[in-house]
Amino acid sequence: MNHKMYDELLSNVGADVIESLALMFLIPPEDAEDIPTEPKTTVSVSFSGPVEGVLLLHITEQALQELASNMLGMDSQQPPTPEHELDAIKELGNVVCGNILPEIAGKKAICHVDAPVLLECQANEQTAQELKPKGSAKLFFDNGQLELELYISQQEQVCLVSES
Amino acid sequence: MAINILVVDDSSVIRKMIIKTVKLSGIELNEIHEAGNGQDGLDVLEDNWVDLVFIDLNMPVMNGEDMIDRIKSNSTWEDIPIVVISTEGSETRINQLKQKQVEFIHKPFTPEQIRTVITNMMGSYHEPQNV
Repeated sequence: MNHKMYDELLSNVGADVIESLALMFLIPPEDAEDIPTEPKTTVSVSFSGPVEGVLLLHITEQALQELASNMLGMDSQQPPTPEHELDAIKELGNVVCGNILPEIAGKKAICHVDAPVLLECQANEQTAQELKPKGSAKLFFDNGQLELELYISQQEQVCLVSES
Repeated sequence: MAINILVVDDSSVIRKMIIKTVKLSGIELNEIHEAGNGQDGLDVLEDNWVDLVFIDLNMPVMNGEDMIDRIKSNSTWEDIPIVVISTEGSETRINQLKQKQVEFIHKPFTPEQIRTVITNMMGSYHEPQNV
């Protein structure tokens, strides 16, 4: 697979999963000029087996609130707790990763997906930025964005720090 | 007939999503039990009659596959229908799980998928017994 194919895979799977899990629908990038791009919460999902690497998800604050609210079925008057929000983005990462791996490794391959972890350290973000992802995608919503980055191979694994 | 369910997943958000989806599917529910890992799920089974169990695979303390093995090796619980709800995408792994006589639903899931699986499983299931 070349980079463009990885980009398309991330974009298609990310859009399908977030639509199914949280009924959040994409808007075109040209309509997303005014939406906030910071602050972001970053979660990583490591995987191993026939392919090894890390999937990073960066989601903006309001988009994360909507993700958690919609997954829980809460009304907008009751904002989700930070724990719910973290749980929601971790689960999104888990589901996206689980759906891209068969496309990369093959449907019969057995891959191990680690529990998603919150990336809290800015140094890790810098480390990630120094590496080149195999693929990436930015998904835009009415109130924010979700960015996906896929790193493959042991050499390119991001140094992760688990949440406390 | 309303049924008692147990939902085992380390994500509280997913547990609530599964419960919401089961309700949306039109299945009438009586007692709803939740557990964050396989061991806590077994503890629930010790104390409650459960008609149907939803289990995630990757969980801390005791994973879903170990919990399934414990249920299937217990003469009291061995006939309880089990639905694995997971992101597992490997056909090889899914077939291995199905050999343990469980149903498999891939995440993300829809109410229709849940309803179809429950109807298929509960259709041949015997009446609940007293604990």
